[in-house]
Amino acid sequence: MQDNKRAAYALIRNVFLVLFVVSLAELAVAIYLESTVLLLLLASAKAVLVVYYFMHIYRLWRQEAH
Amino acid sequence: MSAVTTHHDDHAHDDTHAHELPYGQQLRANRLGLWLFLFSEVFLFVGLFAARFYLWRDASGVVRPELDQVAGLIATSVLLISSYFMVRAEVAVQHGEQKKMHNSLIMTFVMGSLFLLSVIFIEWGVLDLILDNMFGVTLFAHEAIKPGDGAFGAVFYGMTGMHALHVISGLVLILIILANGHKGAFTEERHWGVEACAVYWHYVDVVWIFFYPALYLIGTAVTYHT
Repeated sequence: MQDNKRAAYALIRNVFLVLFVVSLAELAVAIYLESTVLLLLLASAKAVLVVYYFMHIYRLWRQEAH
Repeated sequence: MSAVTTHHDDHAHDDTHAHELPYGQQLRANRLGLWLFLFSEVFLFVGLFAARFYLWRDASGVVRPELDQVAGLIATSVLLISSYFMVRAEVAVQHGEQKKMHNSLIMTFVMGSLFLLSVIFIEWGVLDLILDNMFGVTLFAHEAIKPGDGAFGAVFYGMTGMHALHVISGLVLILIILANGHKGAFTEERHWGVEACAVYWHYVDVVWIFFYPALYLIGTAVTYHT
């Protein structure tokens, strides 16, 4: 139980760090590459992470026990 | 008489709960309803997003107004941090940590408020407007874009204004959840209120994930003053 809790907190912290790094990468891409497609791809990747790990979209198909 | 009253009450109780679904089933219905609502909102934001790419272009291709990049990055970071605290609140309530949930929700509210203030006072230039009128000084090198700055102003205020409106409604939801949490309304097993508030807040974050590059990063920076 304690391990599950620790893992859950570690997961959201890691996802947050990835999101932060990708946000900085977006700024670098805008300055050095000026690629619209790459910027939209990075934004989409961030959105997928948030929708899956923070919004838990998979719960829509999950049957709750209680 | 007492027995009759009790019998009558039992019927009333049965009638009251006759249409109630089991909690698990109700939860699935709630989730589906919330996601359908969010899906309907996608059309609004996609419309604004499309307007940006349609209207912000010239002969050289896609352009953008020259905005304060530091303000944009700070606003984005603050909203991202608020999302972290919101998901932390949800994990906390799932593990019965009420105090941690409460503190995380307060941090989310503070970060959300900071984001809103940064939009109003920095991005919209209200702070410089006040300082300029009162003391004749300005803090930021870039003069803020105005609603009257043609297509740039219209799209910029349309996108940031509509997003800010959703941030405000998210902040109100957080306050409601905080008040209900204080009354002990949420348990490890039953915390739909916290989950719904979190999903809505992250949705507002997802919208900004696309709005940030659209407003600040994509295209060639051009002057926008009319």
